[in-house]
Amino acid sequence: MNKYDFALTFKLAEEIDSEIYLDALYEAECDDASVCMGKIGWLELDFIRSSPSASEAIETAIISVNHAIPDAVLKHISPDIVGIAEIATIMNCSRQYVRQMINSNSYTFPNPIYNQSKSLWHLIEVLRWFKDQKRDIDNLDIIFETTKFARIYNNTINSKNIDVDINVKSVIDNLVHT
Amino acid sequence: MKQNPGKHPNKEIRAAVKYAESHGWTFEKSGKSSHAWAIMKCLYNDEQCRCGSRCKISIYLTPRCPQDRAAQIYRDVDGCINKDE
Repeated sequence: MNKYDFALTFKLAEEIDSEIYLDALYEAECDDASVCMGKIGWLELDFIRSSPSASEAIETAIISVNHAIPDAVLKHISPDIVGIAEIATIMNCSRQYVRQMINSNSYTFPNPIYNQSKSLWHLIEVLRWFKDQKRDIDNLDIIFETTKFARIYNNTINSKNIDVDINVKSVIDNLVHT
Repeated sequence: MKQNPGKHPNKEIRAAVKYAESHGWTFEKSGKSSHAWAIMKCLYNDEQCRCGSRCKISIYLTPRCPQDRAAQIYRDVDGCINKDE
């Protein structure tokens, strides 16, 4: 059994305080979650769940939450998109060290998905880079497995939310294949 | 009416609570849950910080793994954008 560390963000059916669901969540076996209720109408749960696999850990957690709150809709799974601070936490080092590492590996380090006032990366790409570089990171395989599940889920949801124009799709398909 | 939750039965969680309090977090009883030991609230309640979701967090009386739960408390406190260094 490994310990999988992930967060689930749900939107509630109404703009209400999620504190009323605490007992239902506990009774639905979310006693390994930290329930974050600061945003009205939303619910974020930080899990550290022992499980044989990341997909089983995350799937059972989602089932538990939906058992407690049937109309809550899962909007996002973390970890997926990260900044310098989150990379530093995973590497157990300072933010300054991460900045130096990125600057001194600017050609091979993954391109940020957002690069304005701050930079953000898909964590899965950063983890793959750690693997390629054979960096010694605690629990790298476990974090990788969790992040991969999160990336695929979020990507699937995001694609569903885009109304695909057939013409645009064929142009993009051609570009991607060449 | 804010009610003091008293002491958490687990020693690691008590230490994490002390750390959070030293950074301005407050702990009060939940009026809506019997399984929650307390609700921890951030002094700043800043919606710019982690979308505001982590300004108010539950702590159960008997979490599945108290050590993990304590580690999450440290992480939530350290992740606050207004935390005094």
